Amino acid sequence: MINQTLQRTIIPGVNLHMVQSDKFKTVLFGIYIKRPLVESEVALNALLSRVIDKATANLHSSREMSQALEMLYGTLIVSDVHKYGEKQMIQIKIQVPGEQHVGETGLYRGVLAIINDMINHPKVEGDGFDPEMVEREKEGLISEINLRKDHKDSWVMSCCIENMCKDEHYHIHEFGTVERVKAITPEGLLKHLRKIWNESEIDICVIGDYDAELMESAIIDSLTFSSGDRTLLEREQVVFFPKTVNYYEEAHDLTQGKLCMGYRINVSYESPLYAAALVASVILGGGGSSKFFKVIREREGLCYSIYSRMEKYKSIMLVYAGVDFDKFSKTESLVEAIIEEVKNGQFTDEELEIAKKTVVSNIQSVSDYPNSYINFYYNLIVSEGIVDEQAHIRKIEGVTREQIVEALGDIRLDTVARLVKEDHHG
Amino acid sequence: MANRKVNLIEGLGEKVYVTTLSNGLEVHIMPKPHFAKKYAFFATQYGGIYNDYWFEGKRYEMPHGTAHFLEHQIFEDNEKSNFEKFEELGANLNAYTSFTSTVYHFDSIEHFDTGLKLLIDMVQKTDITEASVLKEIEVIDQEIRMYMDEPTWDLSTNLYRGLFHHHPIRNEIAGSTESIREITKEKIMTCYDHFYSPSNMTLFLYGAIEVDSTFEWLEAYFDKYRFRHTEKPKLIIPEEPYPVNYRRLDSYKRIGKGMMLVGFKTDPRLFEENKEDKIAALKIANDLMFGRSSEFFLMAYEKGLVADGFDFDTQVGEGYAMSLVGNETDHIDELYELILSEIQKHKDQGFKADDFMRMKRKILGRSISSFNSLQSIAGNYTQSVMRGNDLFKQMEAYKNLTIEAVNQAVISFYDLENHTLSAVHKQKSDANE
Repeated sequence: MINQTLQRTIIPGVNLHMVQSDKFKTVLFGIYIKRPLVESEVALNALLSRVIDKATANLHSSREMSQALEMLYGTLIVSDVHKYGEKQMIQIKIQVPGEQHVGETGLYRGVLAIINDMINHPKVEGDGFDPEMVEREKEGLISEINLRKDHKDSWVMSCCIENMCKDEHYHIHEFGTVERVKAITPEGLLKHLRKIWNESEIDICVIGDYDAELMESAIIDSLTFSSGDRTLLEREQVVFFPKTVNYYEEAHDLTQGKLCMGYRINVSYESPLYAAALVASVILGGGGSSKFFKVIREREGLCYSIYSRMEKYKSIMLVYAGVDFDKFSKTESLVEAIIEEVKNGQFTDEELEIAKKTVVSNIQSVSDYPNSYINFYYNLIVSEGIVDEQAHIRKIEGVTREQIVEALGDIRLDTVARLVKEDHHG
Repeated sequence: MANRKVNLIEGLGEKVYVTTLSNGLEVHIMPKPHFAKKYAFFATQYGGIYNDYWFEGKRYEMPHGTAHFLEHQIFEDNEKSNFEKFEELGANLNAYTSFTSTVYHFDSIEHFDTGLKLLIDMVQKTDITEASVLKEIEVIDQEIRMYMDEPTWDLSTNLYRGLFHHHPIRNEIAGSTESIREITKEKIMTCYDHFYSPSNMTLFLYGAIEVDSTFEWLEAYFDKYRFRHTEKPKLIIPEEPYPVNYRRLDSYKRIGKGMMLVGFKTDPRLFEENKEDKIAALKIANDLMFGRSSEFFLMAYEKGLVADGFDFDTQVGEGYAMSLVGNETDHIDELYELILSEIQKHKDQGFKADDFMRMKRKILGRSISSFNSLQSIAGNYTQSVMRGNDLFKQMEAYKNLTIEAVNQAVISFYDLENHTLSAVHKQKSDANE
């Protein structure tokens, strides 16, 4: 169980969240740097997240870095970028075994010193990062951008979002484009690191079984911040009523067609109806008892994978399915018909109760895993500013049939993306 | 209960109580009083490689993918979706088929006993019909096509075909889009009859569970599922020659980056004695040779030969033993040569003492971390028992490991002449790019 949660402001804009639980044998740190999702910046943030954990002024190569972490009992550092609506988070997560379990003190301070070096004392040459290191990571990132296309299920969802939100920042992928990555210099990247560390809102979450006072002082002593104005970011636009449905198609070397349908929910997460919209999406496509699964897979045998997913910060629902090439239209009509049914209140009380139970049991079980809990916690910090698990559960449990109908009242199909089989020519 | 024979398995501060019910079902309970969630796994010794077997004096040959197909069909219920029955309890139901077992599992915070009865009934009763089989052929056809569209499909399929001549591990667990069309209701029911008798099955329970009373109510509940058979089916594994089938297989695909995987095959009889110690030694040796802190990785990374996904693993099972090394790269041959020369170097020179000590610290920290989640303990323990391994013994094996054992592991395991390279090359697209 979660024993207690403490929040401290280190300096204005930099907040520390300490979540204590004695059931974990590790301590997990999460450092979240909040940035706007804009073309001019995403590639810089993505590259930065890959460069900072490779070496520091004191650990000169990725090998020295790995060896230092192995000596700290196999401490893991994962540094990457994530998209939260039209914000981009640079996230650094660190998993350390609990000091009491390895019988050694100083482990947390040892790890925090490396983190501070990654940010405040990176491996530099002149006014920039080590150019060879930057060059290698640029190549790595470019190849990751090119490889996005190889994973067809996530690719069709990207295609859907990029077309659906082409006039909103949300269409931007968190890795940026090949051209933007190519244009980055070691000097520009170092300047960007200094800028974001000094100007962004930063949250530090720590979850595990530790002494809060000692942990707080270890963090304050080890990590250096500059005081100054930190930019607060604006909430994204989420209400859209498309006039017509936008169809997008791409030909790939495939054995199965991939389908993604993008819906505008038009209910923001601040709305009292959002909990109902979330439950509605579970009735539709959340697992083995959902309507999509029961009708499109179990009754019609059209697919193996079919599910819906909510993009909370943009109030978008994506429906994904892998189907035979000649079954696109049939699947799309069924999805549309099922949504229409639920929108008109045609679902059983049992289906409603099961969907609510599924959401509640998901919330209850996040506290079993440090990484899911830290993600859940931070999501609520970003969206609601406070974390009240029980209030969150009560909201879900209170969802009624009428609210579901109301929550789906403004749902609109915006974009349909299909990956089809390419014609073999010649 | 006075007459019940209960064995205790212990290790790393954990305890597991094991008994056999009168119908032949083996039950393992790991009490974990401080966790909110409870987990149940109901497993049969029947997986993707069991297509050719002896049973009660007769030989059976089944289409590839039958075990996985049967797993899908177990979920069939005339009255009501099984997923719904579990979700009403706030429980999550799922299943998987591996090479050697099929496992049905659920977890819940409340109503665990009710869920467990549902799980037992779901697996021990069936509602399979001609129609449900026909419909499922189409669903599984789509599942296989989904796997075929994953970029690593060719890489692993070719590797197994290259390494093995006859061993059934060459075949896909789900079968092929052709083989599943040979599956009929009769074949499914025959396999169900042979493999789903309680005496061929094991039940695993984890969480805040009272041991003795649980054994007793299970004994009473299983009374309606008496043995259909007492004999266990016997898997037929054809004699597998020592040398690999092909040394190299190349394929071409429209992907963003090339991929390669080298498989080293060895004689599985090497692991007949002190299996856990030998596997521990090999895993440490692999990490020292190819891990992120190795000389090899730094060199390969600086030359741009490897990316973050670079990986390695050793697998030992019934009739096979192999190590796999590789991942995405645009310099397949260069990386291949480097892997071979790295192994040769360590065969000749051995490892350094301080590198070995550092790796032991890492393993200690990681094994502590792995006990963070009851879900992963439950999953790992179940899998290890079903593969005939002892998880606790395996984790304890790292403690007593010596550098000599690690050096010896590289020398005796890696035969550089006996490996397969599976390469998937980036196909240049012929149109306007």
